[in-house]
This record gives sequence, C-alpha cells and structure tokens, in this order.
Amino acid sequence: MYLTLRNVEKVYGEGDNAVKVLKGINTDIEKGQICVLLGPSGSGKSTLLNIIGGIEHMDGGEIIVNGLNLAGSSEKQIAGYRRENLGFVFQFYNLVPDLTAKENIEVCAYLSKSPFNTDELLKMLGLWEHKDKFPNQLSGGQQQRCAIGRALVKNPGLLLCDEPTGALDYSTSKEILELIEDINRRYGNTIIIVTHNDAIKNMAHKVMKMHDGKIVKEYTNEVLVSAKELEW
Amino acid sequence: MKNPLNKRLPREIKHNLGRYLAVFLMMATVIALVSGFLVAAESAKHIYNDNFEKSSIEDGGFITAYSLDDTALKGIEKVGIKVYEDFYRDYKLSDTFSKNHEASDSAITLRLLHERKDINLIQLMKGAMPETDTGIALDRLFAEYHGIKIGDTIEIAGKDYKITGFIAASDYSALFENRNDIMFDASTFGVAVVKDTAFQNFQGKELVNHYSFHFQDKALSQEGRNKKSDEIIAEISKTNVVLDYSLAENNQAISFVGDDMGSDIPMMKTLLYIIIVIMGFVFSVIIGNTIESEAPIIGTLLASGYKKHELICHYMAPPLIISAFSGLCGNLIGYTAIVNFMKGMYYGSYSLPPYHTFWNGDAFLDTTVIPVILLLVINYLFLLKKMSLTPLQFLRKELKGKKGKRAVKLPDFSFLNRFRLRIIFQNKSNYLVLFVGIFFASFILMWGLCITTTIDKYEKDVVNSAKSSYQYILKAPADYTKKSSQTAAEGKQNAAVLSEKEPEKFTFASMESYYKLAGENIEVSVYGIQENSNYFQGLPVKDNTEGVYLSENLLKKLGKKTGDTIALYNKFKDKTYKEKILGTYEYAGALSVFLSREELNRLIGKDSTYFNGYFSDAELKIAKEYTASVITMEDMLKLGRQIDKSMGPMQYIIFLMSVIIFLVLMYILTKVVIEKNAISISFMKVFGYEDKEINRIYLNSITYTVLVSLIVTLPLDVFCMSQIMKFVFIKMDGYFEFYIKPYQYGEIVLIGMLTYFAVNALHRKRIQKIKMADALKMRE
Repeated sequence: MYLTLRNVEKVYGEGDNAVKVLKGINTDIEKGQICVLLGPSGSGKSTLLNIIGGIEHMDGGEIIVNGLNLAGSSEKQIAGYRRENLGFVFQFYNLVPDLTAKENIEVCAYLSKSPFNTDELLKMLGLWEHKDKFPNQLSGGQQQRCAIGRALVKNPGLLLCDEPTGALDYSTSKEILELIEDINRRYGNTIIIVTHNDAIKNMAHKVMKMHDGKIVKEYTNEVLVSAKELEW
Repeated sequence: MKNPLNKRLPREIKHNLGRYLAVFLMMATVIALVSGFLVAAESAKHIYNDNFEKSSIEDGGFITAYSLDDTALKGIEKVGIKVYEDFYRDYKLSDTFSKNHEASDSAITLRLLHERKDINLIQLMKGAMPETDTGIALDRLFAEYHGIKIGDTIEIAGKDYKITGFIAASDYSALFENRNDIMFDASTFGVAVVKDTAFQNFQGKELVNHYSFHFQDKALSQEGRNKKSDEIIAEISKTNVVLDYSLAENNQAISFVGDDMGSDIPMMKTLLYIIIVIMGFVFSVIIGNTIESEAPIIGTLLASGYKKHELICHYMAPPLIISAFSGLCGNLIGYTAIVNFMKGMYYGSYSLPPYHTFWNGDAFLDTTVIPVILLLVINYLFLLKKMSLTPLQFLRKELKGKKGKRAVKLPDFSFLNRFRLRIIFQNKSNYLVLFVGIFFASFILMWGLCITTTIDKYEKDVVNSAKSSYQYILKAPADYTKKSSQTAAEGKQNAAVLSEKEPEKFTFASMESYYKLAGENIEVSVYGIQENSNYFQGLPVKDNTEGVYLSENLLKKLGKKTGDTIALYNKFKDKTYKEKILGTYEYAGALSVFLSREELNRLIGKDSTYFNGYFSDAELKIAKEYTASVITMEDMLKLGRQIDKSMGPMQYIIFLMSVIIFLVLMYILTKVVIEKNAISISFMKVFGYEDKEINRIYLNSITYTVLVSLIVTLPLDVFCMSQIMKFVFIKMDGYFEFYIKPYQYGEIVLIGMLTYFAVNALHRKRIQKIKMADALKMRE
C-alpha cells in the first residue's frame, strides 16, 4: 500500500473552544491511484489533504506514505518528504509573478535530483508557445497548467490537488482534469484531488466522501469515465 | 542547476526600481561621504605621521637669550643630543603688506625662516623655493587666507619680496605663534622662507636664537626625555639664559595636528552606523511588505519542499545586493571625488605636506564590509522571525499572530469620520512603521540642523562663563606690573567681564582623569583658587578642606554626581589623587577641577604660598621667560572659530545628508502605506467615490499620522540626540551638550510636512493610474 491512514485526528482550538475536525480517519490508497475526496465545506477534506502533505500536524493516529510514518517524523524529515515525494496544486495558482511559465516550473525542478525535462513537460502541458510569458500574461487555465507542471516536474510519488478546478470555467476545468488523468496514466503518480465537484468522482479509482470529519462513504470505481466525458 | 528563483532578482529590482534606486542613492551618498572623509582623514594623518621622519622633525627646541658658541654647543650635545641652529625673525606686517589683504584689527605676524637642510625640513607645495634674495616662499595656508598668489609681491620691513612658491614647514603643521598658545590662527600668523643670504640681510628685527635638536637615543622613554630635558636646561643655563624650552610633544605647532586629527571621525562613524540601522529598518519594511504580498507563493514553495533558509536567502538577496553595490559605488566615489573635497577640511586648517591618497582598508571595512554584515544580520533576524510561520499559515495569509479580533466600537461620528478612523485602526501596524520611520528621519534631520547650534552654544558658554579677561600660566612664580594702555577696542572686546578687579594668584596643574565612555584618560585642568575668589565668585573652595568642585561640563562628561569620587592622575609625578566631589561650578572654559590653592599646593607638594598663574581683567606685564601661556578672550573665540572651521563643511554635509535621508525615508514608508491601501482605494473608485473623497478618507489619515508623528517624535529625538552627542564628541576636549533652538522644532515639522506633501503628490498620481479592472483582477 502506498498510503495508509490510521485513526487520523485533528483538533482546532483548546479547552471549551476545541473543535475536532478529523475524527479518526482510516483508509488505504494504492500506488498509482487517483483518489477523489468529496464533501461539503467544513467536512475536513482540505485539512486531511494538508496533513497528508505534511503542512499541518495531526493530533492523533498515523499516516504512512511509502514506508515513512509522518507521525513519528521530525520537521526536517517532513520537509525532506515534501521536497522529494510531494507535488502540490492549489485552487489559486500561486505562481511567482516575475518568473516566466518555464521558470516557474524550473523552481521545483531545482528541488529534484532527477526532474523531468522541463521543455518536454511544457509541450505535454500545452504551454510550449507560452513558456516565456509571465503569469499575468496567461489565462486562468494556462496558469493552472503551469502550477500543475511545477508540482509534477519533480516526478513526485504523490500529487495533492486542492480544488484544482475551483477557480476555472467548465471547459478549462475539463482540460485540467484531462491533464491530471494523462499525467497519472503516463507517470503513474498517486493523485489525491479535493473537490466540491461531484462529477469528478467518476474519473477516480477511489472515492471518499467526507462529512463532519469522518469518511462517510468510500468505494472503488470498477469502470472509469474519462475526464473528457465528464459532465456537470 | 542554479536556483531559478535567482532570476527574480534583476526583475524584482527593475520592477521596484524607484524604491531600490532611492535606497541605493541614499546609501551610496552616505557611504561616499563617510568613506571620502575617512580616507582623507587617515591619509592626512598618515602624511602627518610620515613627515616626522621624512622631514626630520625635531625632538625638541629651545630659545636662548644669546647665541651659543661652539664650546657651549659641544657641552650641550654631550647630554646626548644633536643641536641645530634654527634661527628666525618675526615681523609684524602692515595692513598693506599685500594688495589682496583686507585690513583687519588683528595684527599679522610673519615668521621668517632660513633654508633648512638637516632638521625641520620645508616641503614645497607649489611653485619654487626662492633662488634670489628678493624671492620668498610663503606658507600655503597663510597665503590662502590672504589671497596671495605666486608671482604676487608682499612688503616686509619696507622691502618688496616676490612670492616664488608655497611651502609647508614641518614644525609648523599648526600655525601656533607660541608653542604654548591654546589656539592657532593662520589669518594672523604665518611662516615664510627666504634664501640664507637674504635672511642674513634682513634688518629691523632681532634674531630669535632658536635651536632645534634630536636625541641621539631614539628609543628614549617619556621619562627619559623629561630627564634629559632637565639636563639640557641645566647645561645651557651654565653659560646662557633659557627663554623657552619645549619637547616636540609639548610644542603645539608640531603636536596639535596629531592630537586634533580624527576628533570628528567618531561623529561620522556614529552617523554612518545610525544610517545603516535605519537602512536595516527600511529593508525590513520592504521585505515585510514583499512577504505579505507573496505569502501564498511562499506557502506553495514551502509546501513543495523549499527549505526556510533557502527562502530567507532569496528574500535577503536584494537588500544585500543593493547595500554591497552601494558600498562599492560609494567607496569608488569617496576615493575619487569626495576625498578631494574632504581633504580640504584638513588642508584648510593645517599646513601639511603635499596630499596623496593612501588606500585605507579600515575605511572600506567601516563603510562597506561592516554595514553589509550589519544589514545581513538585521535582515536575517527579521526574516527568521517572518519565516517562522507554517506553510499553511502562509497559504492562508495568516501572517499576524492573532486573528478574528473584534472590531473597535466607534462613537456615533459621521460616516466619513468613522470610515477614516476605521482605516487608521485597520492600518495601525503600517502607521506604527511610519511613526518609527518618521522618528528616524526627523532624528537625522535634527542632527543635521543642530550640530551647528550645539557648537555655537558651546562657544557662547565658553565666552559667557569666562571669569577673567586674561589668564596667565607661569613657568614659575613671578611678579607683574599692569600695562596701562588698553585701547577702547580691546576694552570692548573684553567686556564679557563686568568690572576690573585686582589680579589674583592661582595654582594650575594639568592632570588626567579616566573617561569611561572613551576607555581612556582625558586632560583636566586643576585650578587651585584662593578662598572667596573675586574671579570665581560663589565657588565655595576652602583651605584645609578635602574634596573638589567640578566644572559642570566635566561632571556631565564623566557621568559623575556630587558625592562621587574622582581620580586625578598626575602624569608628571606618576601619582593618582582620589578626591570627593563636593559640588559643581559653572565654567565652560575647560574641563576643570577646582579646589583651594592651598589644598592643590599641598597635593602637588608645593608650599602653601606657591602659585603659577594670575587671573586678571587687565593685561599684565610679566617677564617672558616666566610666562608659559596667556589665555585671552580672543583665544577662547579662536577655539570656537577653529572648531567651526574644522567641522564647518561637515555640518553642511550632514545637513544635506539628513534632508536626502528624510526624503527617501518618507517616500519609501508612505509608498508602502499607500500601496497597501491601493486595492481598497481602487474599490472605492469602482463604487463611484470621487478622487477628492478617496483622498479625504485614505490620504488624509496618512497626513494626520505624519503630522502627529513628526510632533510626537520630537522629544524622543531630543533624548536620543543628547545621548548620541556623547559619542559624537567623544574625542573632543570640551563637553558638547546637545542644544536645539525652539524655532528649529518648527523647522523640522515644516521640512517634514513639505517633504511628505511632495511625496504624497507623487503617490496620488500613482493611485490615479491604477485601473479599476486591475484592482478587481488582483483579488483572489
């Protein structure tokens, strides 16, 4: 198993103000799976994603990623884990404004010992013609492609996407989902997508529905719908 | 692979060119001025020190009543010295001695020297040495004072002499007429050299039998030199009369420059480091602003695996590049252009050999290496704190410690007033930064404005607290007769002393006391005053009473208080006296210690009737051989004039720097505040507010903050200035207390507001240029 979560808990606040946002999450995700986390706002899905990504601490339980137990790891080990194993994609692209599309991708290539070829990646992302443009010269979709390229260039084992289509229109969202699907097929990365969009569940190998800090439904799709055919 | 983030640096600098250019100009200007100053000062010092060997400057000199014959000379040389004839003649010049000279009340003395080959060599500064008996080479400084050029003619003792060149006599680097004078004045005294044959032919003035000597043992200790001096005087006295004797270190004309040079270095260094700290603050504001605007990017980079120290290095790079570049450019300008201006400060006061610049590693260290390291440390600590947040906090823009604070309930004001107040509350951290920045800016401005007033006040205090028109310091007790003819002009000049009293004896001793702040001993004048003195009225010194009174300036300088103990070191006897401080007395003429004459006599091992000085309101006639020095009101004014002269150009430079710094700080800080509100301002435009209304809400609140900050920081500035002044004048003999004239407070506020309005106008234009669509687009 690539990713194992056991009784993961998270509490915000202290004493009377304490709010338990994750109430014992248990699940397993296999290597190379696309996993979609669905749920309403406040259900705890982004928190869970952040904890898996090592940018937030858990208050109980354990997470084992590719043999590394995050619960017992030091800050330094977790930083190393992020550097070597993780790619993050956020709803807002957070590109460095005064670096070109290509340079934004190179920012993360720099972190890897064996990064993908940036030029090839740009072609794959459909950004080759735009490689020398600055973020403010790119459309929202192109910016998100660039952000995905930045996350992917390290060839991370785990790609975490927090509402990757949240700020995009229908057709651009579909383009991005197709790209994620393509990446998964080509490189075999394990991908976790947090989304509000119920339709995306159909392209995922595994679907988890969260509500009030718990996984209320979890299943594996026997038949996958390609991103191109998704409708919402 | 190079870090791709590095590619941001040139773009970041280009994007914020105005801001970085302002910082660069400010730093480069300050560093150029300080570096130029330090290089000029150290080079001049180097030249002065080298000149001792190069020009074979005497170890000592003496004047005898009659010239010494060969037998007498041989006898004296047996003591262990090599003696050289170094005769001179003094001439009082007429008001019309040169066509360019403007007539003045002060008499002008020109000392004629003959050619020198073995000792106290003369350096040619410009032109040529005289080759005929009608040629004369004048001291450069004296010539400059009187507007005399090479080729001009001057009249001495009724004969005309043509100026062939300008010189610097190595034993007159400071143009002291008498080696015990307290101050020199190149406008009333100068030296000149003529050919030996011309020197012999000069008539009308008695030859001064001056001899210079070198010790044969170059490694003699100070004690050894003093001992030898006693032997030399005893030997001369066997056949002649010693009119004057002095070792080089006690000859003001030789040693003054070495003692005085560099006394203004602490001021420039203090100013530089204060400005570097201000730059650290400015960079922190800029970095803080960048981090705030790039928080989600930082969060993403951290989440992607970037380490904190990698990002700290990244954000530290622009300030370091700018400061290092400023340091290099500043040094380059300092070494090439500024140094020539700065050397004028020394060459405008002293008669030094030809100038050439020496590479000064310390100046580079002080103006570039240390400032860059200082900025590095300040920025690193600031970034370390800023980067202590988690990636998630950056992603969520949770940069402030606390969140979700309740809104302050506002009184029932009009909507616009409540809005304005709300803006102030929301931006209070930005306004706090602005307040701190204004404190720094007005502090520097106060510095620039008040150095002059502080020195002026010092001069006035010195004159106002003078107790007598004349102070005679004697080599040994001697009688006097009063000079009867005091002109009306002289009487007027000495009018600071109200009524003429009978001359009064006192005992004077020069001692040292430890000055903790400087970590070294300073000279103090110890006065033994008679009980119920007519001159030092109200000074309660009593015979048979232990303890001393300190002049207020000494008490403040040493940081002592009444009841403390002061240790006085008598270097001539190698003895230390510990005395209780009984009180203070207002006297600014010198850093002084007062006790009764009898007590001081007892302390220094003299009998109770001993004295070595007179206070007098009238000029006294005392045999020349007994007079060590005479301090007149004119001498005290000379002291002020000299400080003004040596620090004068510096005062203008500091004022200029302070205005530049004020402008830059105001520009950068208000820009930060206005930029932070730019989006909100654009939104107001979207809602339909007019520019006038927007200015009332946003810009006026900044205006009020600037005005209030300017006023509120004034007492804080005064407090800091008075503390800093102790360091600024640490090497000066007197005690300079910070002084600001009341109208100067108004000047600071006025300059502050005018600068702000100029900067504000620039910002208004920028805001008007922000497109509403862009503002909306920038929102996530």
